[in-house]
Amino acid sequence: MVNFTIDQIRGLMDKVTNVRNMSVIAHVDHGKSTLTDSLVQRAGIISAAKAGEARFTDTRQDEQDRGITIKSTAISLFAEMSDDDVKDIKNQKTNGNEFLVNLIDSPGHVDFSSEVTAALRVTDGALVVVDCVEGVCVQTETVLRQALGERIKPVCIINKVDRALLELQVTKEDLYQSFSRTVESVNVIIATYFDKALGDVQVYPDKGTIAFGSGLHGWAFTVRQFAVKYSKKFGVDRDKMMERLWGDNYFNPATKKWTKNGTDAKGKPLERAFNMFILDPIFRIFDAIMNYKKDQIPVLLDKLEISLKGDEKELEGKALLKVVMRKFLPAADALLEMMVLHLPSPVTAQAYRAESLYEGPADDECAIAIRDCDPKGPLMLYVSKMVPTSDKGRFYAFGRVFSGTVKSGMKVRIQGPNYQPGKKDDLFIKAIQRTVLMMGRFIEPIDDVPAGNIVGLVGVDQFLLKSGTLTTSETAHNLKVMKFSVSPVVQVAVEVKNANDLPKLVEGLKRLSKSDPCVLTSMSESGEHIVAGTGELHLEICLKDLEEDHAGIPLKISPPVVSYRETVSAESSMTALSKSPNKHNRIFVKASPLDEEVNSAIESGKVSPRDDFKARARILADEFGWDVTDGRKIWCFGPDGTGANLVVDQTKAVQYLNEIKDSCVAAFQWATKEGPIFGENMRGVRINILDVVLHADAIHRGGGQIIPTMRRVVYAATLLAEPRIQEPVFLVEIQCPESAIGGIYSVLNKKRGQVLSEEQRPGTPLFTVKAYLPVNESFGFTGELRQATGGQAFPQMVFDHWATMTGSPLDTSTKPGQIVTEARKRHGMKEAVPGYEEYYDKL
Amino acid sequence: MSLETAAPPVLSSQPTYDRVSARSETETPALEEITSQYHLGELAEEINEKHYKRIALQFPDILLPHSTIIASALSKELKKKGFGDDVMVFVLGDTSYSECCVDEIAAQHVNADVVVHIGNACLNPVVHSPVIYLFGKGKLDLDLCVKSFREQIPDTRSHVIIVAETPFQVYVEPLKGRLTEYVNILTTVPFLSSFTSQIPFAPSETIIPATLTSSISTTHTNVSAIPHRAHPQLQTDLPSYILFQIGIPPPPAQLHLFTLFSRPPIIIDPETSLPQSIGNLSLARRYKMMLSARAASTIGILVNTLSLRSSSELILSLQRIIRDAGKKHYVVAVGKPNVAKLANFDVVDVWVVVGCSRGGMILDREGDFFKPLVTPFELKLAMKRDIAWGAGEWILEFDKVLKLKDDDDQNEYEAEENSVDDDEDAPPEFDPVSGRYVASRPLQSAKASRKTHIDIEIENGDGQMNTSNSDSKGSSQLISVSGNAGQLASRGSQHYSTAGAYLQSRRFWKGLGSDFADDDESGAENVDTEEREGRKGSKLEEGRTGIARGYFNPDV
Repeated sequence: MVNFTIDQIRGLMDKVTNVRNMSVIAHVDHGKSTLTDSLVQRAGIISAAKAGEARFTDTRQDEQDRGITIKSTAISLFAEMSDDDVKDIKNQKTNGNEFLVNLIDSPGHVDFSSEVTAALRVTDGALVVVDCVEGVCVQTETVLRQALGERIKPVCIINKVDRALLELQVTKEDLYQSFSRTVESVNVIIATYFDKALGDVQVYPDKGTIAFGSGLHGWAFTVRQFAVKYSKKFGVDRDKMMERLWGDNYFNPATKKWTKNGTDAKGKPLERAFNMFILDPIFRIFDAIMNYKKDQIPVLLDKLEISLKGDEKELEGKALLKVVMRKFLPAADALLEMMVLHLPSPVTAQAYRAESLYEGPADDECAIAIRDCDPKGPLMLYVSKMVPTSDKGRFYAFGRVFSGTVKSGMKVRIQGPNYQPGKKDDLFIKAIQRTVLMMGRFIEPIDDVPAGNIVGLVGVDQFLLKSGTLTTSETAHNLKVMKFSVSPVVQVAVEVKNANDLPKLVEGLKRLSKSDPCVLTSMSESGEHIVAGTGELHLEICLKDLEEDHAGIPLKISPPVVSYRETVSAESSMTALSKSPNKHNRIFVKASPLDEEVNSAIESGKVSPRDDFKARARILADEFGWDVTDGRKIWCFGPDGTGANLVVDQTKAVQYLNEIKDSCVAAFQWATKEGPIFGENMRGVRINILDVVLHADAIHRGGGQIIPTMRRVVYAATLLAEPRIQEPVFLVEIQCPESAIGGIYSVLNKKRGQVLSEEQRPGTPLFTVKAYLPVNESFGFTGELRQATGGQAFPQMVFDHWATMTGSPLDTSTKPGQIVTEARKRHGMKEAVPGYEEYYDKL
Repeated sequence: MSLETAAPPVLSSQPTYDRVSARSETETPALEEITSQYHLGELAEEINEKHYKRIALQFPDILLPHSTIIASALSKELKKKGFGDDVMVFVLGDTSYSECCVDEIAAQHVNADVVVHIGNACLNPVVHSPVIYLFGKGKLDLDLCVKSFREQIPDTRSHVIIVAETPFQVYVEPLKGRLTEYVNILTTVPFLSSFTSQIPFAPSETIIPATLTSSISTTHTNVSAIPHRAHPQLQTDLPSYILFQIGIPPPPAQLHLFTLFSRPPIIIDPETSLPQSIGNLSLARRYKMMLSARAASTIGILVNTLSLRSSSELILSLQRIIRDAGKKHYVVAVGKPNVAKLANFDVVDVWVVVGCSRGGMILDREGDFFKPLVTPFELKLAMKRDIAWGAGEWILEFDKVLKLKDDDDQNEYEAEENSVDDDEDAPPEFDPVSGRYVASRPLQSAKASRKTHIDIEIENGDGQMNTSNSDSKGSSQLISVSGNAGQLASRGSQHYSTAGAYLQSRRFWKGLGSDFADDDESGAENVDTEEREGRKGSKLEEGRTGIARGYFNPDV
């Protein structure tokens, strides 16, 4: 039975201090969904027997079939804590001992990182799950980095301890060492991405921010739990006990004294307190049950105050172990304790998150309302993703109320990602039809939701494609648009088999773009529909959804291709000049490459067109060595006004220059969107406008004269600046036994891979190989790797960076040259790349 | 104001001009040759028979060098035959739109009774003038052509249909005559709409020499799907024929022919008399353009003809469907459109070109144009509620486009509008080209907020393009009254102008003085509108006047 009602939840929503919004993040297969189950079970939504296997939050059939999470799923849970626990909540206020936990289970596969980003945006805390055997993996690091970037406070659980005990048969000390190494590597990552506003958020077992357990068996513990038990028994202060139960603290049973030395007076080794007080009982239970020491079991159970019910007594082996451990150390207790005690409430979190969430000035009414998490302030709600409803083609807008209160029927301003205050682009006014509470695969209607909570909205999905800001304030700026760590670099062309199905395909593409935060749909120059995803798995899932669900029609799908970027590798060898069609206007420019750091800064949003130009110039000057005046004279970014190409005005005293700025900006967007080499986006190109000659009559320097000219001159300058193409590169992480390493190397070599590191994970026979692999070579990589290693190696691939390919794309004998020629053929362009002379006019 | 002409403004330190490369001079042909090549005798007869007094000769650019000779040869011919001295022959200079069409406007300038169109013709019907078509005779090596035919179509039982560009029409029958082993060859002849009696106000159209079309009455009785051609009874369905085309048609016509046949057509380049590879033709690109038109909120109707029959009906019909779709349209007439001319209208999201189906349509194949260009047919599809893209069908002729069934779902739009609350916005549309949501129905939202669109009643029967005129008049009045483009764009005003909205919100440059609104050297990027309004405008001074050729400068 569900042991809480919607009214109870609604009541708690008003006590914002007792709300915890948190997401569960980890590497794939580290057990997020399984752990989440124990919490769902505690709430009475699924039965205890099923917990750990049901994976309640994996709502889709293919998620269940594949055993991976694809979409993040939210669920609201009700938790009641003891007064004792509530007293331990430090640094923030609480109100009573009932808590509302809004939990989002996220996918662990790297291809679905964008789902994690969307989940993190609406939460304040994160439960980082780490596999005790595999340790910290590439995706653990990625999601943790994202979490810290969003100012999300982490707590950690080391999962699958049962595996260590049952499969690896480690000793207590080995297990402790393994735990402490894992904790350390988590802390290294956290320390790397230290954020002043968030403070030190490293996790420590002795502070209760790390739990250990087994999601599958449904048990987990924190050092604090044991400290509570023992502090009562020994009559010691709980906090002191906690400190002693981790690290180099030993208890000498002979002297009944605590010591920091690992040996007693006679030099005999002492047992570590953690091992003695915490691991020992667990090891004894495992030993007794798994070795069928029937006589010891009841004694042990009695000692631990565990009573078994009728039929449970009949169980033995693993089944009995599960029941006993779950009764001894219920996972939900440990997790809830960590969340409630150590994760911030929305009130606490929004105080330091506000400035990183809001685009506008820090002192306007919206910023202040967000900072205070004020339910009476203007509504500020961020929609982070769309969740499909049972009604085909319609979606719930899933998001978080940052301030104000959202009600059914309320009229709101829906601001898309391109909205700018005072303008009308991407702005709609619409009433919210209904507000709902997202409960995994179910929804519950709810009248209104105050600030600090997570909500689903009906009736705004038609206005937002993927994400956006909802507000009631006319002066509100947008909440910051999410930046994804992954990039959709793998694309396929889709075609209908039957021309009459075209409308369905387009509708399907629309639904697909809504349902996934990261997938991009577009059209190629030659008129094909393109779907772009982050990797092969992501695309496979998207296309399957498209074919079976969103469009529901048979499709022809082309083999995957990679999207490239056009860039330059040197300054233009001479000043490029183009004349307008009427020959009365001239633009002189030079192209030069942008530093890779600047490109990344632009792409990650650190340097953005929306910044105040003075602040932007300061960052560019301080961190990237730009000239301040250049930094202030950036005309625009491109393509789409946001990309990593810049126009810098370096002219001196040119009359009418401002008048042609609009035309130049428009032309630059056009040129960077379709570069001169093979019509791909440009990247990392800085265009310096050196001089401009304009006709004295406005009519002769209108858009018609300037736009084509600016485009031509950008092309000419690019072609004069040793053009190159960039290809996307994956970071590959492969875990495998030593015997498979040879196979990995041979496959990587064949695929132009570049090995970065090869490390053995201490305490295990597993090796971790990290390598860079061009995305273009990654198709079929998994299969080949499996073949070469006898199925022992499984790669995780995540987009890492754009790499400039060596060799001129203009020379058809080089690899880039071949790629370009092939692409030009495919797009129906002339095969040879036009020379700069095509765009260059002689003086 | 001083009125003496000052030196022209210094535009550049070294004025440079691009020399027009001289056309390869064809030798001046002898008089007799001209007379026979252009069938001037027959032409003179025809002129006399119909009592035309003022004759306008229209030449394509390539034949203009010969124009005077032909004109005088014609005069001589007329005199020789004693057809009165009062006949006047005019040579029309360059054509305003496309040279394959009859330039009625130019002919009206000289008040001509008849236009003699010389050279390659599209045969599209015009509104007023009687027309005499003189195709002339293009240069073609018939032997090579026959050889290519045999190479390209080895199977002698193939069904082949021969079509020629009009100057090469004379070769069609001889070609067939040489290919006796092919049993299933069909030939086509030019076909004028005046041959059919359904169109009541058809002016007289004649083809000279008459021998070219004499077979029309006997064998070539079937109006073809190939525009302006007639042929005998087909032995199988048209798509399974192989098209053998002499002369290269312009791109739109090529694409159209492409869609008619299941096999790619064989096109003979007259320069070499060899088959020419077809360039980058694909309907998929047109499909993309059509989708761009769906996502456009402002559509420019580019009028690229003034004389073609049904062009004004077509324009009115396009205006209606655009308006019904909740989009804004502007009608623009541009002579010989090019990239630069069209890029001047930055508010326009997509252009629909109303022009001759051969020379007046623009298919932007290289992506040179700033904004996409679509054909009226594509626009009609685009304005439908649901995406429609017929399997391979692609229509060019105005009449057929006009006859296309209009969208039945118009009422649905209305229904949806009614359901929308007064001050709520209509949902945006998904644009598959960019993969984004775009609000592409500015007028629909304007309507939803109970504002009327500039509704000019088009009840006057002649249905001319006064719509656009009054439209622009209305706007300019508003501008002059309020002096503020913002008000024009705002929904508070009666009319909704996307151009006004564009100027108000998208442009950085808002006119003189706005560059100095911010003192900082980096320009007025972040200046609030209020701030700017609070300042004084720039000082008015009397400036230079005159035309570009030479200006009057005040006190220099």
